[in-house]
Amino acid sequence: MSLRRYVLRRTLLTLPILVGVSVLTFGLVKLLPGTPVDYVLQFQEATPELRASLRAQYHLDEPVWKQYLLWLSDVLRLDFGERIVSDRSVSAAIAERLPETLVLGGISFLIALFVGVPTGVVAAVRRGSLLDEGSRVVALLGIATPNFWLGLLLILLFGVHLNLVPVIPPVAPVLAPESLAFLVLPAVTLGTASAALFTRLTRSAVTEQLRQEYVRAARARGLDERTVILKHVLRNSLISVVTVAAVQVAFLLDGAVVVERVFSWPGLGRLLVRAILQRDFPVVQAVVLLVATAVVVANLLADVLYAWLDPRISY
Amino acid sequence: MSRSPLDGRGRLRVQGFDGDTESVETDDTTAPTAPTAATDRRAWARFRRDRAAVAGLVVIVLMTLLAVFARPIEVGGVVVQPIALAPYDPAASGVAPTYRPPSLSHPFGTDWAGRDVFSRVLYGGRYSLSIGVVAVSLALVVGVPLGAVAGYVGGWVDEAIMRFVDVLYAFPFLVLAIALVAVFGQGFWKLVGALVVVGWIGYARLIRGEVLSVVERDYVVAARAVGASDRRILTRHVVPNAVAPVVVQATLNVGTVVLSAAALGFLGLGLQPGTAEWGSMLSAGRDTLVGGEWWVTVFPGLAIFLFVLAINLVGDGVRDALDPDAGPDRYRTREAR
Amino acid sequence: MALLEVEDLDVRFYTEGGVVQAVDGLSYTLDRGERLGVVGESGAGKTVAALALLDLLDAPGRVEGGSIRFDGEEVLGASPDRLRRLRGGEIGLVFQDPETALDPVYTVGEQVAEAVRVHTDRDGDAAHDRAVSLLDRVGIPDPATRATQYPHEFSGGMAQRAVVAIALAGEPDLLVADEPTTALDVTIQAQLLDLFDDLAADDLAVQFISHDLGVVAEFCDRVLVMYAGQAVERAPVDELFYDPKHPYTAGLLSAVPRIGDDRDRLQTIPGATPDLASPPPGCRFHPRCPYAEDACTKRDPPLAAVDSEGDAHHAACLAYVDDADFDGDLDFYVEVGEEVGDP
Repeated sequence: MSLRRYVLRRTLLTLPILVGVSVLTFGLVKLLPGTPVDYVLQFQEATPELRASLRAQYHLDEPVWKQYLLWLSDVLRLDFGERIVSDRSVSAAIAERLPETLVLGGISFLIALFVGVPTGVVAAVRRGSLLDEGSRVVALLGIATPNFWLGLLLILLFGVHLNLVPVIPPVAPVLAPESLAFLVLPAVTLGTASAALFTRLTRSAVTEQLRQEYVRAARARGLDERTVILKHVLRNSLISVVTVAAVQVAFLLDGAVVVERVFSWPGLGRLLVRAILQRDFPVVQAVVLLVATAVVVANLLADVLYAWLDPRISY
Repeated sequence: MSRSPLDGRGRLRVQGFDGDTESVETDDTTAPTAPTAATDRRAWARFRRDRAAVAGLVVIVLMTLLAVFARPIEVGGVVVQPIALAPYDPAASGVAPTYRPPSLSHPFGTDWAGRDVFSRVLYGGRYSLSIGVVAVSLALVVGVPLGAVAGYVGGWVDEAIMRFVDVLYAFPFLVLAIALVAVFGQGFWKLVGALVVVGWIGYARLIRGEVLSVVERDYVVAARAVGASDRRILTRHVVPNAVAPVVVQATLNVGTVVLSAAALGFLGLGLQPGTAEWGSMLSAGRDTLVGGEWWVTVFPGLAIFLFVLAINLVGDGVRDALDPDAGPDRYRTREAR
Repeated sequence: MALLEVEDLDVRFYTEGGVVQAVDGLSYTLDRGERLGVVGESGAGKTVAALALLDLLDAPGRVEGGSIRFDGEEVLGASPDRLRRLRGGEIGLVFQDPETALDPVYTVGEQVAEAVRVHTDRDGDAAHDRAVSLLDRVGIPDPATRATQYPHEFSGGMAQRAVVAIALAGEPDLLVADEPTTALDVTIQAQLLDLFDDLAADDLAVQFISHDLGVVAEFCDRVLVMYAGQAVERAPVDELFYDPKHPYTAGLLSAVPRIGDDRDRLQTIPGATPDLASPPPGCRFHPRCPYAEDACTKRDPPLAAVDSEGDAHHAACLAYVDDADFDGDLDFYVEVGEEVGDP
């Protein structure tokens, strides 16, 4: 099987999961007391004509399975309906916020990766050293610290006391310098737990590899230690790191919800929490669906990457 | 090439060496020993040697005691626990001027409603601890049987359960909990319920993996051949071996659950607003920070941090005691594969 | 001057259970083109001694004393540059399990080529071509295609040949083979031994470590027998098998089952290998030796010449030490039968 066919096969296998995700997301809103119509009518005058047209809009007179299919067909065209609290389309609201979350998540991920992995490698290579012990302690602290607390503390220290960074998000495009400067604290907050995890995992993966016979064999060939570590050990270790990186996507999405609230960063997480408090269920549905899809896709990518990296996996 | 005259093997024999002609015993280690009291004692001894783990345990016990003795507990009108370590009623507002910094009478200061932060932090331990223990216990009750059934019965039952697990797995932990709270509302049991729905998956997968690895072993095949009932096989062979990873996972998960519950509280989606839960206490945090009232944020958060740190130390210690060969993160990643 | 001179080598492992004396006062030499067999049970220190040659011991093991001289130059404490030239360039190492000795994520050709690049001037394509020709030299069919394959696509015997190819890439003078045939089927073993024969004919010295006496008998010129970290006998191969002088060697030989043997049970040496963290006092073999006497518990016998003429045959037994308090007679001997199956 070529790589292309493998990708195709794995993608096909994830489709049932995506279907399940959509069913669950759809079903969740169905479990709400009342109907979306009731919620909309909280904001408007409840005339019989309005009620009837809203019922038609939400397909409430159809059998449930048909409602699901109609909803699904809309979703696949990226039409998530209208918000309950306003007339705006959900898709527009999401599109507005998506880049903010992507940039925050992306930077956090990069921080976690480029801080965590090298630290883990060095810690494993220099086992028992001060750096190793120190990094283990820091990693443990990083895992135990609530991210919202960390964010608040960072604001307190760098924003309020030291006055180094702004504490209010700037009104500027997400990639503008002011925005990126503001994003430093949130990204560090969000990335810390992941960095801690990457450190621990890389350290144990590298330690495991260093025990393997091929490392000694590589040295016996006359290769210098740097080549042995960077060429042979690292490549083998990264295979197991890749799968974890995919799981981190879910983890970061969780964290983004909280961190965006801490820093008032106008991203999807903040939208989600607001929508829940306002009972704006089309938004909740759409965001949850989007997030779950992202996780599934990330895991698929990780699977493919894993197969590509490890020649022992046949495809 | 020099071929020695020793070509023909078998032509040499050593005489006169009084060797032992007894047959050598082979070591029969096909069946792993089920955990006995002796292995338990050894595990406990290993745990005791891990100073960090013991420290963590001490912290947890201390925090539990502080939470229990924070305010009197009444059961059916009878005062079961009369001690009140917390000087003020956690819910009582206006006991002091608002936003007072830490002082002798209010070691952790007062918050925006004039409540004593110290009392609230002490009392708040009750929520975190109870949510943590209850949610994890219920998740075990749901996850372990499902995983065991999936692994043992196999076939379409296994497929169905595992597909369902895969779907649930696609939702990030907190996002799903948030969605559930959105649908079912807030409150202690709804919060616990949401955390259970999200949390049982790890145990199911873990147990299923253990069951699968054991079921294929020779001694189970032998037991089946002899006619042992399925239930007997499960209880005598599978369960004892699976206990260790589950205990480790559960211990570490208490920390995850407490963090998630606190996060939900922070977002305003946890218990009723105004409850003295550590996460909820932080939710007005942002506004207070800019005003410089750091104590409202630092102390509740510190409590969460200390508790979760202690749990992690204990969890690591338990893992080292029960399964010394596992890597440090075998039970830490969400997938307990 | 011998190619390799090992003198009084001492290797210790610092473990939680105590200090383990893995190699104790080991001395031997190896000449150019010579084939030395190193035999002994597992745990005798054969592998550790070999790894020490190239300073490949991992913590908690450390060389604590002695001297290793290759081509006249001291190896212990050598500079990193010298060590890199030595590893693969002057001494090649063949590992016991070829599947684990190869990096699974790189092609076999690349792993041979990188050894070529380190030790010769070749780079890029030239190195690759040389790698292919090395694979050919070790008898791998269709070497050009094989070079592009990964280790898991190789069978055990083929992988071991690849490991030999890597060991040869630097054109070493000495090949140290650590149980190279142990992990393989018997038929593959024979093929691999033929390869070694072929290579050794080119003036390549071989230190062949094995616990299989039969293989050693066929292949080696001289044999070193190790027990509990010490050398207990050293002799040309014929003498070792026809006229063993140390009780342990006799025990090893007698333990080899023979076809046509009329005994019901396997003969073994009573007891077990000692705990190297606390070895028996005096001669380390004495608890298991049928000829042990009181003197044996007090004095650790040095490797002594077994007779006054010739310096070739040595055994570490008090029976051969003149001023030792040893009275008994080692009354074992080797009987040569006519045919296989002779009672």
